[in-house]
Amino acid sequence: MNESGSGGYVAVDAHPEVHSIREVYTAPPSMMAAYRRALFARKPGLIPGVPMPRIVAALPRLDPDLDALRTYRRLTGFTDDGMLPITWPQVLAGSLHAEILTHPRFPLGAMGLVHMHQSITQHAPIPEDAALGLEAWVAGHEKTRRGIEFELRTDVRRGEYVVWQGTTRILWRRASKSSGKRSKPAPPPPGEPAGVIRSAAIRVPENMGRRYGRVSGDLNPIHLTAVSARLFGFRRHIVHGMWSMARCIAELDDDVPTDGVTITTDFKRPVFLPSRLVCVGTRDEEGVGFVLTSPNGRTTHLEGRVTLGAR
Amino acid sequence: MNASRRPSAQKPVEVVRIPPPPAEQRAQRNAVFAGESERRTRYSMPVALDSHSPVGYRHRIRLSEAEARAATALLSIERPHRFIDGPAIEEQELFDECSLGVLSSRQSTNYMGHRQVSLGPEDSMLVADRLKRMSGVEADVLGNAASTHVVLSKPYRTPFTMLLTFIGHKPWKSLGTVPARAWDKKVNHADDIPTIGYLQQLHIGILADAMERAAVIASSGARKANVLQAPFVGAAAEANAEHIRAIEDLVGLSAADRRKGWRIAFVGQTGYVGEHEQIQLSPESWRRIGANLLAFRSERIQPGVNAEAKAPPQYQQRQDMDVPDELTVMAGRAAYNAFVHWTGVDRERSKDLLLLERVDVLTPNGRERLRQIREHLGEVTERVITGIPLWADLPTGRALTRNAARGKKAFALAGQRIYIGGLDRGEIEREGIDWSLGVRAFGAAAARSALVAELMGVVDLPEDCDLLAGICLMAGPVNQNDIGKAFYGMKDMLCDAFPDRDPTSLLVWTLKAKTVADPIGNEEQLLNAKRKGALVDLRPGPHDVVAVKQGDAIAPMRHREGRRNAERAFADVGNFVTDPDGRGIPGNRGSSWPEAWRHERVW
Repeated sequence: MNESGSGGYVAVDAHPEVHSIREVYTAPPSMMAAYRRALFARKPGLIPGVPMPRIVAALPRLDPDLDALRTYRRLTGFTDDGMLPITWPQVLAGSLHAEILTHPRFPLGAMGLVHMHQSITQHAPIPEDAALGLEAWVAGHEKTRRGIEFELRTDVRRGEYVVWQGTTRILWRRASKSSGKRSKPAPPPPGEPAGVIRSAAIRVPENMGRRYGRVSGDLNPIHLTAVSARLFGFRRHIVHGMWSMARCIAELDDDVPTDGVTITTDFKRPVFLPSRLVCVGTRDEEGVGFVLTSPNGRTTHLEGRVTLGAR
Repeated sequence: MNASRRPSAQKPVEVVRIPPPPAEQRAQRNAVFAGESERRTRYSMPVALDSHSPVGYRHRIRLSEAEARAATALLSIERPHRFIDGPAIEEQELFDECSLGVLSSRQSTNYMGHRQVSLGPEDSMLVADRLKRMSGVEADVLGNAASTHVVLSKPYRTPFTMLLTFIGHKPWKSLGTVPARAWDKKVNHADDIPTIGYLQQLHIGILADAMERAAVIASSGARKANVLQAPFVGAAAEANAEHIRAIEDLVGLSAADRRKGWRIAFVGQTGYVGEHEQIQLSPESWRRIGANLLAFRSERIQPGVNAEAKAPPQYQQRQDMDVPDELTVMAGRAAYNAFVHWTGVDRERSKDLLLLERVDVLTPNGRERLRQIREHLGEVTERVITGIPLWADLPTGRALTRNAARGKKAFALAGQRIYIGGLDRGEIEREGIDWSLGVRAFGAAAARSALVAELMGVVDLPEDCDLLAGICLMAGPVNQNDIGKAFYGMKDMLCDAFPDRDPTSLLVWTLKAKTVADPIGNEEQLLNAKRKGALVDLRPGPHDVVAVKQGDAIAPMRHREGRRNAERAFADVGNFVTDPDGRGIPGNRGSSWPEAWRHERVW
C-alpha cells in the first residue's frame, strides 16, 4: 500500500498519548441519529502526523433478535442450522461502527466512505440464541493514493471469550487531482478456470438494497433507489458489499468451516441493482477462494478467501 | 388393456461396440468462447448459464464395456415383485431421481407439460389403497412403498400449436372459425390436429419409461419403480373417476388446474427391492451413468450432410462412419421391450403392431423415398403459408407465415438410418389396448431405442471424439403430414409402406454415426441474443414442476428460505462442457444445495 505519496500504516495503539474515548451502550444506538450527524457534521480532516483518536464503542450485552436473523438468512441464503451466519455479527456491529464514524471526535466525514476490505475470523460457532458482547474501535489509518484508508476492528464475546473478530477497511476518498488516464487492465479471458467447485448464477432483485437495509439498519441512500443513489454520484443504486460477501459465503455452504476460520474479502466494484452475477468457488492447497463477477466475467465485484485458523 | 395380462419377458439388450473412425477422421465440437469483437453463434461457447435445472450443459463420458453392460440392464427393467423395508429417502436422492425423470425426460422445446407430486410412505399407502380398488390396473399394486410419484399432465400447447389455430380455414369463414377453434382449444382442450394430442401421450410414455430407470440409478440399484398408467386412461379412467378424484385431492389438484387441462397421467410407486431384483454396479458407475443420461440430447446434424454453411469446418467434413446393423437390431430390441412392457402384448405380436418404415438412402429406392417425403412436407408447408388468414398475418408483420416457413428446419431427415414409426389405431384397439396407452407405449419404445444408440455411442469412447453414435427423435415431419391429412385430404406417410393397414405415423427416428456433437441451440437450450449470448435453459427447475407433500403441506421442491436450486445433478462426475483450454461456462457447474438440507430425510 506504500505507493508514491502514501504514508505507512499508523496504528492507534502505537501512540499511547492518544486519548481514548469509550462509549458504552445498553442497547444498539440509533442508526438514524448517526445518519443525521453524518449529513450535517463538519469535519476538520486528519492532521498530518496526528493519529486518529481511539474511539471505542461497546455494547456489553446484546440479546438475540431471531426475527431479524430469519430475514437475514432469507436474503443472503444462509441455512438455519441454529448457529449465527458467520457474517451476521458484522451486521450486529453496524450501529457501533456508525457511532464511531459519526462521533464528533472522528476526524473524517462519514459521507462517501467506501468499504474496501473485510476480514472475519470466527474462533467457534455461535449459537443463534446466545447473548453477545460487542466492542468496536478505530485501529489505525494509512494514506494511500486514493485517500485515507482506516480500519475498524470488532470483537464479539460470548461470556468472557472472544468468539468472532472483524476488521473493516474503509476508504475516505479525497478529491482526485490526477489528470492522466489510467490504462485499463486487459479483460480476463472468458470462461472460468479449472478447479472450480461451485459456479452459481445469482439474480439480485432491484429491491435488495432496501430489503437488506431494513434488516441491517444501513439505509444509506446509495442502496435504496436509483434516484437517491444519483444524488451521491452513482448511476443506479448499489447493493451492500456485506450482502454480496454474505451471499457468496452462503453459497459456499459446507466448503466454509464454522470454527477456526478466517474469511477475507476485497470489494472491487459495486453491484448495481438489479443485477445478474456469478459466484465462483475454487479450491487449492491454501483453502477456498471465491469471486463474484458479472456473467461474462469481465467485471469482478469482489474476491475472497477462506482459510483455516485465525489470522 | 386386459387387466389379467402380464408383460412377457423382455429380451436383454447387448452391448454393441461402434468402431471409431481412423484417428485422422475424428473430429470434436471443440467450441471456444467468442472473442470480444466476434459475433457469438450457436457454435461458440455461451458466456454464462443461469438456470435452476439440474441438467446444465454437459459432455458425454466414456463408459467401459462392463459399465455399458450394466447400463443395458436398464433397458429391460421388469416391474418389482415386492417392496421391502429400507431407510428413509434423503432429499438428495429424491432430487437425483427427479432429475433423471420429470426434470430431464425428453420433451419438446417449450412444452412444460408435466408436474409431479411426490408422496411419502403414509400417503403412498392411501394411494395404494385407491389403486387396489380401481379397475384396469395393469400390474400388482405393491404395499410398503417408500414414495409415490403422482404425475400430472396437460395438453400439448406451445407457440407451434398457437400457429396451428390459424391453419386449415376457408378464406372468409376464417373470421368465425379461427375464434371458434381457439375457444374450443382453450375451454375443451381440443387439438387442431390429432398428432398434437398424441404428443402429450408420447411424452407421458417417455417419462414413465425414464422414471423406472431414474429410481434405480438414483438409489444405486436399491429401489425400483412400479409405474401404473392403465387405470388413468380411456374407459378405465371413467370407471375409476371417484378414486382418481380422491388422489387428485390428495395431491392438491385444484379446480383451476383442471380447467387448464391438468389430469393425473400415471402413478409411480417406488420402494426398496431384494438383492435378487437389484442390478449390481459400483456406486461410481451408477453416478457416471446418471451423469451421462443428463448429457444425452438430440443430434440433428450429420457432419458433411446437413450442416449449415456457416458451421465450423468440423461440421462440414463428411465422416466415413456407418451405423452398424447390430446397433439397429439392439435399438429395435429395446423398442419392442418397451412396447411389450407397457402394453403387455406378446413380443412377436408387438413386431406386427409397431409399424416402422425405413426411409434412408441406404435402402433400395431410399433416396427417391426421401425426396418424395420432402416434397410432400414442402407441399403441406406451402399450402399452410398460402392459407393463413391475412387478417391475422398482416397485423403481426407476417409473423405467422414466417414461422410456418421456419418449420421446414424441423424436417431435417439426415442420418444413416431413418425410420418413420406409427401404429394402426384399429389394430391397437382390437388388441384390447387403449389407444392413448398404445401411443404412450410407442413413445417409451422410441425413447428406449434412442437410449441404446446413445449409450453405445459412448462405449470405449476415444478421448478425441464427442460421441460415436447419436439419434434424433422428431415429431415435426409427422405433425406436418398430419396437417396435410386433417386439412388437405392427404394420406399418412406410412400408407404406402403398409397398404393393408390404416396407419397413424407418430415419430421419426434419425440415427447417426459421427464423432462431433451438435452445437448448443438444440431443442433444449438456446442462446439469448438479448442477454448477450447467455445460455437460456428452457428446462424446468425442481420448484417449477415437482412438489413434495409432507404432512398436509405440499411445497415446491428445492424452494426454501428464499433459495432455489442451483445444483446440477450428478455434478460430482464433473462432465461439464469446457473449451479446449479447460475453461468452463460461468454458472454451468452450479452449486450444491446446502449440505444440511440435502441430507434431511424427506419423510
